[in-house]
Amino acid sequence: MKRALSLALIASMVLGAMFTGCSQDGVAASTPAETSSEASAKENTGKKNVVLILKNLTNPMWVEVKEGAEEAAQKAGVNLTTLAPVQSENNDEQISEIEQSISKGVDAIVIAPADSSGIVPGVEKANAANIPVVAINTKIDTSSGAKMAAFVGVDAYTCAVEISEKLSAMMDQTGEVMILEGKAGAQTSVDMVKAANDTFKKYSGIKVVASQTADWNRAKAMTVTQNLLQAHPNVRAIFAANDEMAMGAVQAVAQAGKEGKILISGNNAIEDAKKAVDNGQLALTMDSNNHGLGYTGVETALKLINGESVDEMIPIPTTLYLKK
Amino acid sequence: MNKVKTAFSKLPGILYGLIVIGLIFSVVAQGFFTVSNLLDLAKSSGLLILVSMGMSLCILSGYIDMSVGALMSLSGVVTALCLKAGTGLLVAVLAGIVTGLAVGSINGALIAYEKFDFWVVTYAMMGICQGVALKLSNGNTIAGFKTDFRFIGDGKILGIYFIIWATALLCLVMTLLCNKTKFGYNIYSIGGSYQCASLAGVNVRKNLFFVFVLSGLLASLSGIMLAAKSNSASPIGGQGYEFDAIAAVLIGGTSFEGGKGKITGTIIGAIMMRMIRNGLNLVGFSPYYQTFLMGLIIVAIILIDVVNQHRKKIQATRRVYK
Repeated sequence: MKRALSLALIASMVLGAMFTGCSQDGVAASTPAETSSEASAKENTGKKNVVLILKNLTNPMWVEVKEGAEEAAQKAGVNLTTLAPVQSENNDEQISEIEQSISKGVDAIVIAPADSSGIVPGVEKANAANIPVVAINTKIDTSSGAKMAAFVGVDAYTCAVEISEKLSAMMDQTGEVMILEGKAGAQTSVDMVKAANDTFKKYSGIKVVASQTADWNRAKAMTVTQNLLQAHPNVRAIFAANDEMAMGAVQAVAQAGKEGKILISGNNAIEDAKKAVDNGQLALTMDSNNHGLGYTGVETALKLINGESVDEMIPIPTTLYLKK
Repeated sequence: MNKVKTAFSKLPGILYGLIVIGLIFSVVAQGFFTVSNLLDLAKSSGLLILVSMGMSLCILSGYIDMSVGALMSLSGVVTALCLKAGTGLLVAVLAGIVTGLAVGSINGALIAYEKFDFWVVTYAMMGICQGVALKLSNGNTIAGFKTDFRFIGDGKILGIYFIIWATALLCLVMTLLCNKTKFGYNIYSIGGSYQCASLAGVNVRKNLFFVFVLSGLLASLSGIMLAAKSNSASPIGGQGYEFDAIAAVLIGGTSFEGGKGKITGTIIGAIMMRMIRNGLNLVGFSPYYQTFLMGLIIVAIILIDVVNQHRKKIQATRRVYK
């Protein structure tokens, strides 16, 4: 027993050392003075703490948001902790992360909710603890009394309408369209697909021939597109709900030897996608200013902490990224 | 003194790991050792504990149920749809439970009586449940329930969440079921050797059938609580729970070979899984490191357990040759 205990203790010490060691390059730490947890605890009493909860950190878009948020936090000299569910877009995990942030005693929460209404129980708890909640990218459902201090960004539906309108114009309002959906059940995907369908329906010449999920994933999008191209060889355009999937579709289309014949649209304007637009492989993507989204989100949270009043809706200008 | 010693040795070794890691987090993670955080932690552990206990029965008898995560989503969606259709609380919850029982029965019937491969059956069932959940909800999250249903998720009795009470009760029932009943002994003997159990006169098929029914039942209960807790039933809400449950069972010292392990170990394993995540979040670890560290900690725990087992074996042989 003694040996087992000593083993456990050694393991715990090693792990303990790792926690304090690693938290320096983690998002939470900011100054090299933080060598022990005590020091960071002391420092925390002086500095404001903001937590940023994202939908996932596997899509490059959210990494850009995180970087923007970090820049704002660094400029204002506050501690920023970034969290994201292990299971992409898991609502329950996000609620847990809000609860943990409340226990930790943060001064403000900036969140991109996985689901507008699903997140409400967490937001209610933050409201009860008087911690301001700023939503970015996706709104919080306030119909049941949950309070959202501000919303930063443009919702997915509006974005997708703009993209699909441009795509319709580029295909002269005629031809077959395929839709690559995001993760099944994820709100961003549901909203975007609805917007695309609503828009394409307006034009009698446009027909949506297939709408399938590719899980926001590049490799999956490639397989799905390959399969769909077999079934629908005359497709004129592909609407992908994010750039990762659009890039997968680009690969599939190139392999099928149809490069240039099929218009592909993405969303988020990640680096790869911008390059593909410049090369003409991708028709367009939507620059939703991810960096600005993160930056303004944290900036707004800081204003709220300092007692300044902020607008309830803070739009982040979006621009279509087209070939110059 | 010896009595105390034997009582201690009966506790699963993993409990010490839980205490040690808990102590570390209490020191390094600001806000970890607070009543509200520990209650939230217990609450989110509860959901995993329920699924893991069902998984534990399956693994103890030498099988695996891959369908539990998707079944959680499906039960939640079914209950939510009933509530939205205006049925009473009881009917809605029962509908969710019946879903779990039905899926569990199909799994059990195909695996125990038809001798289909359990991987294939439960994997297929996972796809079916996921698909039905997505279709029923049209891919949307069904949200916003009345206070009576939300009480299941957020209500407190004597200062402690209802979920925690329910989980505690079910833990007690399941522990007794495994350790004190004929059914429990039968599971261990089936896991030890299917053939021997069968030759010894155990009704292997019937017992196996009920193992899968119980797994389905526990998953559906967990799914309903998940919906109540988040005030919304997401068609993908239970995704990933099957792997978390398997991990919890393995961390708890149950072996994949079957027939070896304890349900108490599984319970602690599940708490451990959630506690590590909770603590790492509070420390403010980047999500990138979190899964990595989680894996590392699990390996460390299993390593300590293996060393411990090996030592016990050596001690036992020493006793023989003395």
